[in-house]
Amino acid sequence: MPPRSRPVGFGTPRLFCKFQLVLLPAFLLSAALGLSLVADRMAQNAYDQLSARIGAHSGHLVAALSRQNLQADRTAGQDLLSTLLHDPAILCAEVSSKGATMPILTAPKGLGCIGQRDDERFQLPIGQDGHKTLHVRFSTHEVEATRQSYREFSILALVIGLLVSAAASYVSFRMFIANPLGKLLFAIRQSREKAQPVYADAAGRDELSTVVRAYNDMQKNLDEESQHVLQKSRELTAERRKREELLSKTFQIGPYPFAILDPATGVYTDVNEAWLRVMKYDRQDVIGKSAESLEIWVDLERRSQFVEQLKGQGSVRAFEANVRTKSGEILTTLMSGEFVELDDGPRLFMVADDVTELRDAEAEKQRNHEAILDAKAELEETNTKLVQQTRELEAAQESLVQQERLATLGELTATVSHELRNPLAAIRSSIHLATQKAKGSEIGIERSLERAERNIVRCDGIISDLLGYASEPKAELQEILADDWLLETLKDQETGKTVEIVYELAAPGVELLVMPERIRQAVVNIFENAVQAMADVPAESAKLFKVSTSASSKNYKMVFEDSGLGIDADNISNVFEPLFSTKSYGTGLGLATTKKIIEKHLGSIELKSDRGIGTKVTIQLPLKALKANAA
Amino acid sequence: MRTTLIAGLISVALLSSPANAAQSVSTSERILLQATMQQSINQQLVDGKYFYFDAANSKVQAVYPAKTHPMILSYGGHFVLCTNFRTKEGKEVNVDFYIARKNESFVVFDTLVDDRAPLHKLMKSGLVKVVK
Repeated sequence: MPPRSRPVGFGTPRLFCKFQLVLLPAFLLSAALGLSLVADRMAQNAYDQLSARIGAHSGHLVAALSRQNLQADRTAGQDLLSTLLHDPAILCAEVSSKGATMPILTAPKGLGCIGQRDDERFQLPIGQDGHKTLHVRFSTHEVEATRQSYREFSILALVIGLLVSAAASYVSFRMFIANPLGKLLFAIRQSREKAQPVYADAAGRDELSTVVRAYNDMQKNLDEESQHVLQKSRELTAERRKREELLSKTFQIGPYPFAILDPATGVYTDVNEAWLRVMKYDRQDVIGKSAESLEIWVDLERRSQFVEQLKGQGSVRAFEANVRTKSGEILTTLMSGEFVELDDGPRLFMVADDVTELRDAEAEKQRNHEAILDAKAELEETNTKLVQQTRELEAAQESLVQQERLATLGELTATVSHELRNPLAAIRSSIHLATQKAKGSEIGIERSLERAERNIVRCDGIISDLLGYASEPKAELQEILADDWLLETLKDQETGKTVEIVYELAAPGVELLVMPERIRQAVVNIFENAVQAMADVPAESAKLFKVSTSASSKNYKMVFEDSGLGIDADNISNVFEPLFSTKSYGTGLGLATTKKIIEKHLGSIELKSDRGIGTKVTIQLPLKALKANAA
Repeated sequence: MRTTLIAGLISVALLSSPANAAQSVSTSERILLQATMQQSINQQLVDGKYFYFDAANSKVQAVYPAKTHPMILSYGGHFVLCTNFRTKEGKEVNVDFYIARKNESFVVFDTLVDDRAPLHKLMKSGLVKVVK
């Protein structure tokens, strides 16, 4: 148990002076006020007593005088009046009669109130008639004397009371406040000096004792807490030593290069074996020296960046930098650093991961990857060329096959047509002759001969178609005014047809360099196909063939639209194929021949058709191409 | 210090407030009031006895003057003076004299014997005050 404190002096009683600074004025003020009030009350009482005494005497006297016959027995009246003078406050008295100039009775006898001028006085009527009056002069000096003596007594009492109260308050202050506070202060000082709990005496039940008890309790709690903290500190110290030992071993035998530096000087305070092995230094070469003096950093700019990051963020992770070993070898490392507070001050922990081999491998991998990419690109280019060449070869082969087939077909057609035309000419001549001879006879073969004649004409048409498709007739290029030529060509076709042709020709003055007969054949083929497509349209429906033209800077465009039944979607892709026809008659060479003619003029032809609505054929011919070719 | 001064000033103000103010009467008038009362008593004394009718007991009682109170009370423009009388048996009887001003003198206009309750009631209500 720590020793209890001893009582001590309180030194300069400043607290007491502060108390007195409030207490004494309050005492003086209240005491003066109280004494003043009491003095007033005392004076009031003195006046009351004086009034009552004189009043009683005067009343009794007037009553007695009213029963006396003062004219007859003046001596008795004089004696009664003289009794008033026994009262020390009464100075003189006179009994006067109404109308008389001299008083009847006087007290003191023979003198009365002569010479008494400034004192107070009163008068009382004697008897019911009021003829006689008692005049009395009196003095209030005894009241003033009482008041004066009381004042003197009050001042004396005030001074004594002041001294007594000051002394009493000082003693009580020392006893009840200064001494306990002194003990408490002593205990606090002792506790501070000895750094151990020192308890103060806490006897009594007043507020200061409560404070002292609270202080003692606080000291006790602090002592217990201190013991607890001490014990905890010992445990933590032991734990810390274990951790430090573990950390030291880990530091030394760890596979990564560790270094500890003093951040203030930048010198190495410790490095582990891995660091020495990687950096190829001996311990004595490093400890106490800075990285700058050892020229560890290859790039000083990177070192500045590392330091800046460390200062700004407090730690750095995986900072790539090149370092130089003692032998001058350059290593690529990932450096990490962090400030740590140790017993001997702040330290900078740094660990470096040697990634030189990894970076070399990555560079090699990158190079290989780029080589692979180059090879792949080259291969793809070669492949693309190969595919292109293959396509060109296939197209050429197909073209050759087609040309060969067409040549064969053309040659065959020309031969067959030539061979057929001669017999057909003979047949036609014979039928003509037979028709001449049958005229006017009655054998009735005219109709048969006419049917034979029509079929011969039809066969001749088929042969013409075949020859038109297969042969390449020589034709001269001519310049034509496109719209005028088209109008004239179609006008020639209108005769005997039930189709209405609508013209919207919007390219007047446009010239084309074409083979007119060939182009005419193409246009007529389109017109004939349209007429045939509209043949099955009901009679009440309109049969329109609309022709519109337009021109751009490069092309002349002709659009032919009919209101026929149209072509099935499945057949549209085949309409330009030779020998393809949806009709029960015809050679199927019309549109094929048309396309051939247009392509011969370096133009294009396109067909669109909607079943039940009609068909639209668009032809575009170049304005300059043939002219250039011709030139 | 400031609190003490304020408390003192408040006390002075309360003690000198109008509620405690009373009619001021000179010493001469006080003496006249006392003398008027004594005259009234003397005029009614019969062989030293003061007779009054005791309404509660329905009989005339006789009392003897014993003591006058120096204190004078004011009631409006009138005054009340109190005395103690005594019976033969020694019992004290209060007698209050109600006095009015008449010219330069005074006159007793009512006397209440052994009946101080009305006066106490008036004092409590503040209508009767001590003359200063």
